[in-house]
Amino acid sequence: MKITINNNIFEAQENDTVLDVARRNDIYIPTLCYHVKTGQTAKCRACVVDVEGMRGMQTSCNLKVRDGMNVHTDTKEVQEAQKMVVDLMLASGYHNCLACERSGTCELQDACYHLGIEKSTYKDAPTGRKDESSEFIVIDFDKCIKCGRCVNICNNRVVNEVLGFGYRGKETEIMCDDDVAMGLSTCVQCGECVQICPTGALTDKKSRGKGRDAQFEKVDTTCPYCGTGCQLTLHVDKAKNKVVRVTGRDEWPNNGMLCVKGRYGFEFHASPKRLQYPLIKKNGKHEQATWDEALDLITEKIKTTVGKYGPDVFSALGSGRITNENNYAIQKFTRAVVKTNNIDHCARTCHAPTVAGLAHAFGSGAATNSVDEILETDLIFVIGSNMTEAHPVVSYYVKQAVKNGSRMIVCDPRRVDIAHWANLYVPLKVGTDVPFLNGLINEIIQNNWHNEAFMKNNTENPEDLKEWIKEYPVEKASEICGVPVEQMKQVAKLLGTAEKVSVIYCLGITEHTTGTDNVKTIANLQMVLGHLGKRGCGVNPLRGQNNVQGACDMGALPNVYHNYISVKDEKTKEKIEKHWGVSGLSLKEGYKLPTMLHKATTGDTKILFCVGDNTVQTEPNMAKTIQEVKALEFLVVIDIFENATTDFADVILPDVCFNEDFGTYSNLDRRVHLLRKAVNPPGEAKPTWWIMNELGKRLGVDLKFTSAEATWEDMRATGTIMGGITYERIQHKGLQWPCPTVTHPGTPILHTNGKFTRGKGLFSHTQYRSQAEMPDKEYPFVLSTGRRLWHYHTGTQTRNSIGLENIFPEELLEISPVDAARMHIKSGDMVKATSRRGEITVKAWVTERSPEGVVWCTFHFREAHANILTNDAYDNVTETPEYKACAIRIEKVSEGVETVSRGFRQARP
Amino acid sequence: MKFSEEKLKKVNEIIARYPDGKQKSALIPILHIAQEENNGWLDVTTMDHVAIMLNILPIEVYEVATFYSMFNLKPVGKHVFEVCRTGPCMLNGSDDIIQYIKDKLGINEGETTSDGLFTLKPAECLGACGYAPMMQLGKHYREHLTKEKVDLIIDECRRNAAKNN
Amino acid sequence: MKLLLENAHIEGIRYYEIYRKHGGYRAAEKALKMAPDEIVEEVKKSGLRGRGGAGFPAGMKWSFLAKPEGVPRHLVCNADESEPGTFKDRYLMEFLPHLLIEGLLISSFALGSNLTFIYIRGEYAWIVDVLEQAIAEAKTNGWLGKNIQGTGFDCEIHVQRGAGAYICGEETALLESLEGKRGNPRIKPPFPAVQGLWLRPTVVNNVETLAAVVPIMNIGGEAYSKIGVGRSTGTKLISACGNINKPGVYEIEMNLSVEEFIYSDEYCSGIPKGKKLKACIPGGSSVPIVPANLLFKTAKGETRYMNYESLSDGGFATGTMMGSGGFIVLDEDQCVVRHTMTLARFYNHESCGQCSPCREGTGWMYKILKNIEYGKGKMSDIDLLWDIQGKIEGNTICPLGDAAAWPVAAAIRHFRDEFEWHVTHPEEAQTRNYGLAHYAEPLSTVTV
Repeated sequence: MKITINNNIFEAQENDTVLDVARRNDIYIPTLCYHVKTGQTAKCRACVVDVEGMRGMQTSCNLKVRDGMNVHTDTKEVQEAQKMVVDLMLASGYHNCLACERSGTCELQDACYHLGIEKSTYKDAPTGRKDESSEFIVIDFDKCIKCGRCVNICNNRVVNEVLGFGYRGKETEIMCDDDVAMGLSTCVQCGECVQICPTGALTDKKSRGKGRDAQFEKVDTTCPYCGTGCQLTLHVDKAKNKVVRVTGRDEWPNNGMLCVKGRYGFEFHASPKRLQYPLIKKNGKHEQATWDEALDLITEKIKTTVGKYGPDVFSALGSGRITNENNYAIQKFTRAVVKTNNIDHCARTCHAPTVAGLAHAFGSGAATNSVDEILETDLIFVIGSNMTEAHPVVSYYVKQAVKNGSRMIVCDPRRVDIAHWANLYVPLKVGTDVPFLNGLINEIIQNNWHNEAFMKNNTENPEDLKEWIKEYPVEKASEICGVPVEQMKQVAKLLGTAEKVSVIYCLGITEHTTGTDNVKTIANLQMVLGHLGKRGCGVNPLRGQNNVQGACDMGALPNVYHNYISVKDEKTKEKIEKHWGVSGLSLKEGYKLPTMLHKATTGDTKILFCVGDNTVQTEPNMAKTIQEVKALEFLVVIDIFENATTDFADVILPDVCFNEDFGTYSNLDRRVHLLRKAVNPPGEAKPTWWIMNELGKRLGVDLKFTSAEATWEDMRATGTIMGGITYERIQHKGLQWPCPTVTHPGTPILHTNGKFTRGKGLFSHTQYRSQAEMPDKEYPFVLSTGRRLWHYHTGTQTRNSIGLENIFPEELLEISPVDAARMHIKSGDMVKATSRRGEITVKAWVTERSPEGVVWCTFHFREAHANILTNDAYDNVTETPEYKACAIRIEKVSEGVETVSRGFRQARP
Repeated sequence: MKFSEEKLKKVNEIIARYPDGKQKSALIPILHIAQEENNGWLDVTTMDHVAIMLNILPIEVYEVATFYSMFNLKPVGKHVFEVCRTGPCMLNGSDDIIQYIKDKLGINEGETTSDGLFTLKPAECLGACGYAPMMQLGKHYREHLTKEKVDLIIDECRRNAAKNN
Repeated sequence: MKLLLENAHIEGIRYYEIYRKHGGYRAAEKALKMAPDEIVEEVKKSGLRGRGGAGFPAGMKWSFLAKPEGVPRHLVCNADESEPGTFKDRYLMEFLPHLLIEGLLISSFALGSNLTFIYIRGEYAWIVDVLEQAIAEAKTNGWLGKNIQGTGFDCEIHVQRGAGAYICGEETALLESLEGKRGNPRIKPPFPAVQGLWLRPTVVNNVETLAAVVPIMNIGGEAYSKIGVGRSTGTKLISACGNINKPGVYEIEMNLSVEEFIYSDEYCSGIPKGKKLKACIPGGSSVPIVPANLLFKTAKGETRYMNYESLSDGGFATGTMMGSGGFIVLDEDQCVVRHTMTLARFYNHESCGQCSPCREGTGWMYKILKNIEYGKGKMSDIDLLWDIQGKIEGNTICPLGDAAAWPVAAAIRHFRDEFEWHVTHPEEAQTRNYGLAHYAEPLSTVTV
């Protein structure tokens, strides 16, 4: 259809608004409340236009076009009406652009500029009311125009439900909770409100006074925290070589949204504590060295040791936190230069059971569906995921979906925050996932809720399952997992009768001695229900780190090359040898991470390369890990900060971080995203691919790593599932593998049309095994561990960024009110937590998140570290440690000042 | 914060009026009851309690409580004089009545006497224009106010307070 | 002729037995034997117009009600009477609760509402008790609840209290409030007839409108339409207040002249102390104020009557509106500036705060008026005021913007020199409530 605006005729589509058409054709109409994300509210009235045949002014933001409509935006009346609104807003507070953060990006300023308003007709005295109480966000009430975007986005998009409108009429203002200071409220500082605010009412505290928007270079890149892979824009002060602000990009998977870490945890890159030069340990002390000295020393060590004992005394660790290119580089170096498959990375400590379990059942060890599909699902089944803290942006989608009518079941021993949004919260006992899920499957089959056709046509062994599952009647399952029979039946019914079920799980499933079995059981469940290969369904593990998916994809695993090509296959070996220009690649699977370390004590591992893996702090039973690391003959650590592992390194090499080089990350839904160089690395820090290339040269192999992109291209040449992904294709938007050719559009959903990667789906017979260390008289508590919203990994990034540490400065041991009362412990008291392996002294946090008998803490803080206590018991298939369950005892050490919890949802006391 | 047995019965009765899933509709009626139970004002604990009862978010309660002028978010006196001052009442001398009350009680609009007995709350049209000037005192209106009538009302309130103590 | 208040004087008419004895629920008996559509037809025939202020034909509103299969419909009675000058619904509910309930029952039956609400302003707290008592009585006597009078029709009526917000008189704000939210009006369309309470088809009618359904049933739509004049059919409740001898609620036929209404002993009985009439706001505070010389006679010199058409004769230039029937009289000693200021303060207090022209505009109008009233105004402020009101009007989601703009506009239109006088005489302006008496002059000789 066609409409006329200001006497020009324009093409318009059904459902377009007048504003849409005007914007597409560069006709300026001021809008202050309307935003594509918060919808048409028609409140600010700045967007009014005149339409022939309609009485009075019409708001163009919500006015649907009609064929032949004749619109005027430039008549005197319209301009006057628009001006009046903007004029009134200008008068309504104190909009002084001189010192305003938002100057240059302010939509009110824009409107004044376009309408030619130099000063307001009305004069109002500024109230001077500002809320600076929170760590990252400043509210300037004088600059608020009550557009409501922030309230809308807080409640409907990030669904943190903190901001609201208080009072009314001219007194209307935004408020946090019951009108308390933001710093005291339940706000989690995601900063989405800042990003959407049209004026200077909500601004980023940390970038205040750091410069005007126009002077910053904008670099689009990928978030360096969890596995969601959020797209963001770094605002870079080139002169100072620093990032000053981060904003979310309106692109999948995050659609502009970020969490507190992604948005505000950026200064670590410019920390003076960064490693800047190679360091060599001399007389027990690390001394600065040149690259040549360091690389020569390493070369020498590899030559002599490997020469003498063979390649298998060499082991290397890639990382889920470094780029695909660097993971590829370290695995290629290990395989092509040293000729061993002893390469692994920290997926071993988190999602290795996912890779193994899903590969076993489906043929592909990754999430089956995409993040955005959560919004289309009917029932979300969350098990073992504390997503509001560990994967906040994923949790936004989940909460949005629930708000829009999807139902949700949350199963977790701890009452994790996402449970507040659940229709049903199911507290099961720690480590009883297999009997719980088997009980559900049994009940589903008993009631004929299973998808018989899917099982029959698309799986290999449905009859086996139907037979052995009889071992798990709900009554028996209930007895083991502690969930009442009635509730189990309720869950089974919900699952069995829902149209689309999306299972989302995380480390609560994998970090058990039965991790792989847990994953296989989830796969069984979804195959029984037939919720695979369709939109809004699937098995969706939330990968923990920014590139832990990629590290697996790149072959930083002992059994596969990049793209999951088996090392044991003679043919592929030849193909790869040919491409790499080497011979003698090993056909033997390498050691898994724990084995590498155990073998150090027997002298079978002599050299260990650690790239971005703080091994000492991340492995369970720290005392044992230290023994193992100490037993190594030669330890090389490539990292961006000193940490507990560098202490033991013979050579430390300074790495670049996420914004100092190009590269790619693969996120939790298999999407490959581009990273861009925004700043220069500190001192002489170098990317890992460069280091590997240099070492390769010295050891006589040309690895062909001349740049990050060249490294990627080298991978791509023999890549299968990622063969079609080029830097050029992902400049603006990631691509999901499998993407075998450069014209392939990527694959949002795996196993479509009932065709599994492996052909037919495979049911596995899983059985209950209890956790390795059950609580007893001496150690009566179960300790479970995890991640907090405010921190990441061993804190190297978050604790070296400004503000996060202020919000959450020290580790807290979460303990249930029942246990606390019994032991006379209150929040703030110091307690000693002791396991068979060590003890820590830590502050207590009494919270209803913890069930009776279970306590919880993290490994973010070196000062009070969970891994001093955790048990070095491993999953029988993947050697993933049982971080989620060990036995400890607790004693109160001293009284502290009581900290008071606030609000319903608590990411902190 | 706890509702008395009798009020709790009333609350449940109100909640039951609405179709399933529409319990939020009970919010305003229940806030009225909560305010009565909490000495005439709503504190955060009370509002959170109401949120739990209705299974809605605290912020939804706060947004509503701050919007409606009958909900007090700060403590008020035992007797709240809400004197209308809009057009028709003004025409009939409400300004004089307000001034008289101010002088007599020694408080300004929005203030409470030091003995905690009286709060003066200026009000906009209460729908008693034919009986102006007027004020709302508790559940009822006091109409055709004169200075003498105001004296009587104040005395009555004091007597009641003395009796109850 | 009285149709609504006919029995208002009867002792105890508030109670079921007495109401019933005097012909109560006879209309309901009749209606329950009719088909719902026939009732709607009767109401259409009667020409009854919404008594809340907008004057929209009630029968037509009813016929717009969407009736999708399987979706419950609701009737909501708007008893959020808050327009300054208006207190007629209160009178009706307080003294004749059963009349309203009978009207609600008939209307619920006609519209198919099994769950009907009376949304009453929170301040009318004691009236809630009166209504709930009457509802209980009606239920005991089989007029509410399950299977009413054996017809198979179920209906529950609940009284829902507001909590102090004029804006909740606007039907979509009322529905929001009834849903337990802030009283922010909704964008229309969709209209409540399609998506109202809980997004279900809903009719919202004023108390008086719904009460009028009872006499319409009793005498028939046809007969009702013959009362009054032209499109102003039936009788109308007028609540009279301000400077008159007998303030109160009067039921009038709409062929009564304004002059008679003010001066006749049957109605307002003239102005106290023999003072002269200065101005009048005949339909609640939002309608334009008219000076005495335009009140009794239209600009064309014709007699002005108390009905929709006559009161608005001449448009806003020389006329006003019937509105809600809140009749406010100002005598010669009243200051229009001050009166307008109190109204501006009222609208500023009651703006919900959604639309910026209203939120900010009402604030500025009050502020500027306050300055003028207290001798701190400038001549340019009067133009500014004129300017703001003009830009609020028609530029808001709901009609509150208009309601706030019109009184200011009319006051300036007709009493500009009184505003100017305040600017030029700051000292005297500060002496309280001092206006220019000459506006009352041309009518000084009028007597009845």
